[in-house]
Amino acid sequence: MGASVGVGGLIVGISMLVVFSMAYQSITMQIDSGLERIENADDPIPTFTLDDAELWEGAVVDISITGAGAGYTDGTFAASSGTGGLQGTFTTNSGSITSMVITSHGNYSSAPTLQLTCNVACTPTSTATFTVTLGNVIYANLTNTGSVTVPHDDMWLFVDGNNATTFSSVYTSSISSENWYSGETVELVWWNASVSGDQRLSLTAGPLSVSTVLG
Amino acid sequence: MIMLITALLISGGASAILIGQWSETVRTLQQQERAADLEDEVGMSIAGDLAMVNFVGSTNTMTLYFVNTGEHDLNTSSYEVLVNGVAPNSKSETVLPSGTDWEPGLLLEVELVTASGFTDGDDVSIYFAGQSVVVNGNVEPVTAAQEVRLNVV
Repeated sequence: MGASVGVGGLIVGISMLVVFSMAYQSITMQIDSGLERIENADDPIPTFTLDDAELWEGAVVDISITGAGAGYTDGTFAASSGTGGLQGTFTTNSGSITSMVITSHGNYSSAPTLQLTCNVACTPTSTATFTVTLGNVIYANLTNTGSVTVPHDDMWLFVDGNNATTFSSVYTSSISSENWYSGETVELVWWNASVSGDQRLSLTAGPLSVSTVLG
Repeated sequence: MIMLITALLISGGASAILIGQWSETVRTLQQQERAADLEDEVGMSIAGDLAMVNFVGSTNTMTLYFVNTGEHDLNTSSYEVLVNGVAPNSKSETVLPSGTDWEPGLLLEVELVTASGFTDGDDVSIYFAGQSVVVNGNVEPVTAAQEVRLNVV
């Protein structure tokens, strides 16, 4: 009789321990779930500003070599007149110009004539000729004012609400970074952008979209 | 002895029922937890220039952009967009920059042919209702409502 009561008590005790264990696990699970939801709710969203944005509709977007000339050495080039701001460098091979690299697109009402300056004094025996193409360039400074690091692939640019373009496809970081870090200001040079109408630039990153009028 | 065996049988039966119920409870809790997690991990927002939403007056075609701000793909075949509370006559969608899956960070370009025309500068209400793809057996709805200004071209 005594043994039966003892065993019965043991069974009841173990059953109660199991029930308490289950209750404890249930409460722990609920607390973990609640905390996780609170943490997720605290996730900040990206915030940023478009500090300034300008559109140059007469920018030199391409210089093609139609006559390579002769007697040149590597050098720099600019517009022969005006203050449009075109600048660049050229390279040569055996006295002929092989490539033109634009470092500043400038802004012109008509295609400028180029003035070449050799790094080492040169006397061309045949003058090089070029075809200068004007187009649009958007210059903008963007600052990440939030605490979220935004991948360039997750940033979208729009011109006049259209032409959705990933930031990474038109921006090349000088340090090969693919992220926009907190506090960082990036300088966008988006050339040959398709622009028409009212000319506004918009940036979407995460749930936030910011727009500005192009100056 | 009889009492002991009876106690063991009753205890065993009760334990079996208890464990069965407990398993059911755990399954329900896990399901609820996954659903709650998914709710936090799914998001979508209207993108682009809210003051210049393109509307082609000759064809009543409106172009809208939506960005997936969550952590899971969104369903591109099961969504609806209402303009001023009215469903469009037709709609088509394209995932940008490419592909067919509307992954996190990607845009969904939606072209709507509306039943009525608008004039330049009209403010209209856009309502998007969609859902995630199936994640761990759950589907989470996503909605967005936004007032935008039309740029009629």
